[in-house]
Amino acid sequence: MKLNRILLVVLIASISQVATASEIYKGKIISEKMWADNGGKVKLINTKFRSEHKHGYIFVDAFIESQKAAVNAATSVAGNSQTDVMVQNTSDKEQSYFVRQTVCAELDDHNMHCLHRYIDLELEPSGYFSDNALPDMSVIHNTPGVYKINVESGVLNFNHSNSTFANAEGYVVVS
Amino acid sequence: MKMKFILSLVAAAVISSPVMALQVTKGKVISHKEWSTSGVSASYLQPKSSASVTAHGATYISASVRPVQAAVGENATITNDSYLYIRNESNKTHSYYVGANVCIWHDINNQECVYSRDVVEVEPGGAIMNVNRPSLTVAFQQAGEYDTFAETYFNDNGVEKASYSQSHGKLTVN
Repeated sequence: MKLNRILLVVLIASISQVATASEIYKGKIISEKMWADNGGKVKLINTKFRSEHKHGYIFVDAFIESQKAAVNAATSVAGNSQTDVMVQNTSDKEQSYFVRQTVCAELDDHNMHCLHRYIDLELEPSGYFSDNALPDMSVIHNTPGVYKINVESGVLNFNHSNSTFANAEGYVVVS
Repeated sequence: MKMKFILSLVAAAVISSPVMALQVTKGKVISHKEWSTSGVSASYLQPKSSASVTAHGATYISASVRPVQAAVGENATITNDSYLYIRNESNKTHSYYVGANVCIWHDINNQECVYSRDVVEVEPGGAIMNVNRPSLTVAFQQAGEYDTFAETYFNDNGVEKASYSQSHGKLTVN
């Protein structure tokens, strides 16, 4: 299969009980789900908080570091990435929010493979939520080349239609 | 001077008409500023995309810097393929600080950067789109790996929302 020739995506084998660096105050997680484009299982890893908590509004950031890799050597995409998502309900009513994270690696000129994480949550007035975990993806390329990788995090507020996304794009240089 | 020994910076010379890809609907640019360190000229390459400001529904930013290779003494261009779209979904007029930059470290203590920053006032329902590509051209006299990074960001002074994106790469000089 052509895809297999170009790239092998290694998905970490189990959804383990990872203690994610999430914090929620005056609110609750309604649901959380993770999945891979190819149906594989997904594991979360914590990234370092890069920014100060700026309560009072929605703040999202994304960071990625390009990497060099040898042919057939595994590279962690999320391991060289960071993200912060912070949202506070500054209204006087309960609000529903939707946090979305995506980690992707380029397979070839026309195909990306992605892992996704969605969190549905509700916050009471003055409640807040913060999180810095990302779905982990290790990739092995067996053909030299420059392959795009990216990390995207975002928050949507359904009641106000307010949304903010940050995307950081990097590359794996395989030689 | 040590800096001259390590690095010679080449002002980007070929940009005859800088492309300012900032589009604003229902709003206005309050201020625009471009600057660079050490007298490096800022250049803004032609945006890759000609997407319309109405093509997106969500506030979205992206920064991207590609790894670059060059020979000793050869010019290398480092570019932030920056994208920014902000939509004012509130019922008040907001002022947004919008920026993009690209930088290279030429040693552990010193970096060279090209910056752009705008302050834009947007009415409710209005939007900003910026497909800015700040770019820096350098030539190193010493082989090695030099860290590069690109940043794209916006904030509204803590009123409602802010976002920040950073991409790190390398310039490899052989």
